[in-house]
Amino acid sequence: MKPLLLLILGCATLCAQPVEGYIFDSVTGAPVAGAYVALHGATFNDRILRRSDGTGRFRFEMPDAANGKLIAVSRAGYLIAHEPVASLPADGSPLHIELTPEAVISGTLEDEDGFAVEAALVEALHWENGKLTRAGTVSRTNDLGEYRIAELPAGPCYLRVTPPSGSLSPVWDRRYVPQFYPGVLEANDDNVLAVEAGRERTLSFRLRKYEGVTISGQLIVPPGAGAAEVTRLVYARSVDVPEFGAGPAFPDAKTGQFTITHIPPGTWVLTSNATGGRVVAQQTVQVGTADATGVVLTVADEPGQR
Amino acid sequence: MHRFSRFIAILLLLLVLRSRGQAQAAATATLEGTIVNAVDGSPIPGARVKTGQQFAEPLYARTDEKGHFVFTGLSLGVYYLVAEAPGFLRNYEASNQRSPRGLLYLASGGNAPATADIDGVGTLTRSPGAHEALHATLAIRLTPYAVITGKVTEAHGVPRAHCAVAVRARQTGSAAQVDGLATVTRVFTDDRGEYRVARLRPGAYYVVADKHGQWMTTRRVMRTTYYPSALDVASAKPVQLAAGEQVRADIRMLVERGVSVSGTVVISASDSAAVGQALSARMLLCQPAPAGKMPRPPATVADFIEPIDGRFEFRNVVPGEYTLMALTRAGDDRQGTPVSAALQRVAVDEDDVNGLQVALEPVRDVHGTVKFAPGCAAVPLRVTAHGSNSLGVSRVEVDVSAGGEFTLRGLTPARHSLLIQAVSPDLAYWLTAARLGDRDVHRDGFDYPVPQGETLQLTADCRKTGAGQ
Repeated sequence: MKPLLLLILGCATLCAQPVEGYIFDSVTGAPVAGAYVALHGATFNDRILRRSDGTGRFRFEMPDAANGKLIAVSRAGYLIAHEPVASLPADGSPLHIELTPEAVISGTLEDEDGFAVEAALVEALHWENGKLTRAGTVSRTNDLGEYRIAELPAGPCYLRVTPPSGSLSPVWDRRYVPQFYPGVLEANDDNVLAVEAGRERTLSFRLRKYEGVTISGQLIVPPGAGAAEVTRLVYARSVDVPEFGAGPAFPDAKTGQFTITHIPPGTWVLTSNATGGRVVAQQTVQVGTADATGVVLTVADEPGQR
Repeated sequence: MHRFSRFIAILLLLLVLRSRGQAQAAATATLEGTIVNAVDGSPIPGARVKTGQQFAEPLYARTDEKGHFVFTGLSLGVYYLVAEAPGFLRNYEASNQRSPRGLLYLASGGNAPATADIDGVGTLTRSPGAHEALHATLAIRLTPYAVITGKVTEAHGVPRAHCAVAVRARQTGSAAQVDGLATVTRVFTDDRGEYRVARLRPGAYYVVADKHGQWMTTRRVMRTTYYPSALDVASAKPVQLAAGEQVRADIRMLVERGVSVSGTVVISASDSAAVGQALSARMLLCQPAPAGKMPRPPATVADFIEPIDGRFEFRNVVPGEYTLMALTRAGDDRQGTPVSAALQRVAVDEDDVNGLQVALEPVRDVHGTVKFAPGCAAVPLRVTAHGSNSLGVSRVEVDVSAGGEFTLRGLTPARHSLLIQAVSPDLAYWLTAARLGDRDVHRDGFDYPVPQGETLQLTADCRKTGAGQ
């Protein structure tokens, strides 16, 4: 979440006099009390903080030349609003800042047994500059399977669920692969959602089990490759969605044989990293309805190769 | 305990490997069991169970109405087992494990005991003598978990979003921090300031809202605050949880920088004239005393100050309800005779409190009478009023004649507790009732100064001897 960042230009005219303003809800028009209003200077730590009072009013007495570069306004339940910089009055009359209420998606996740899905990561994705990126807050389901994504901008989005991967809560069944609302593997026109400012949408649904297929093969470390420390593979689905269905696999220390189960259809990338993260082997696998066997990754013998 | 169970597991594993070589290839095992509520022993229907061998696909089962589950046709070997049901700790969580550690030995032969408690799993019973088809029975007890929910707010009732809320418990050992607490779990509030912490075992917990939120702009504004609105563990209130209980703990966060509380003390001319010398004045701001307790020391709130020209100011006062106490004494040291005093309630929010008028009233004597319970002789008694705060400890004693009337002189502003005893050390008398005006002050004591005209009415009881005993 980012606070509203409001650039004040023309500091020469503004800085000499008090800065005063009022904050309103852009939907209801009501004043917003208790909003944080920060007047930033040249550095992040150089700033003055005020809170709007019961009438939505705030005031900075003496912004000198070192201050008054930036005003940040934040309040729980509201999100970024872009105030045209030119609209700031230069004559010292009060600013009128509107905060847009957040949109919210909340609900409950259960699995095919009717059990609550706990510790799953739930996030909203929307298209931004041709890529699917995260919008609003990220939520982890609680013990009741409840999630709540807040601070969403109005507009279309997709809901993605990544079931727990082991560190926070044990994996009950690996067949519950990462998926989109309402239990599908792809984000497309059929499962796009629309949210409105100041509205909460409730979406409770059931995750689906995907048997998937098995990818198996061998990680070959040629003599002298200098990558004896390679002990694991990382597999990730290669789509224009970040971090979708990633996980580790552990090749046999002696033979290099590996098996990755419950992989749903799609394009998958297997990567082997040396210590320090350098990629030393990579292989792309098209997964359909049949097991993919005999996948071979050969560790590059050129230490500097990417 | 864990080390021991792991040792057993390794031992069993060795036995398995040995017996495997001897066993027939077709030998299989049946694993069945029951899952019950650890609190009342009732079966848990619809619970689910997962078992398996490492690196193999898990096997799943559900319990029937009697809490019974069964796995058949298992190949012999070493198995893990996880059992869960909504509202219950998983079988291994009851012993504070994060993942199942106890292992089941499913193999024939060997010298393994017929019944074994497996840490974090349950009690396993193997049917003796079964060779080709091993039969093992497991009794699993699940404990209902407790939940703490709540809302974190700032001033004006604004929710504190993205606030880290930690649940802490008394613990010894390396995990414990300086204050003797260790963090059990940590969650974040949502955009409404709401949080929920589940899977807690029964016990006492402290809940603390961290000042470091996710919002950079606000992190320096609030102070790390314990439930319900305390700055340290000592004044925090622990949340007591029984198995399966759900408790709400709302936290009102305190601001980093407090406000100013200022005003004027009005000292009547007659006071100073009566004494005919200089007066010294002291004031302090205390959080009001909970029922039956002394006011807390003001150190965490504000230092007491000396008014200059009757004007005073407390700086950096965090929001809350306070009692302002003032006392003037004759002379300029702390031992002088109390002359006038004030006790006033002050509510502090996020705005400065200016222009408080604190009217000092002459230190008044408090009059009272003692009645004797039926059957108790009227004997000379001693009444003690004991009050304590940073204005000084005041302990006023007065001997009461058999007539029952007394006068307490020189009380200082404070919450005072009352005590009576017989002057003669051979007699046992104690206070059974105390009223000031129309208020019961027996258990909680009374605040001084008291309203004018109010008197204390005490009742003394005695150890009765002779007839009736």
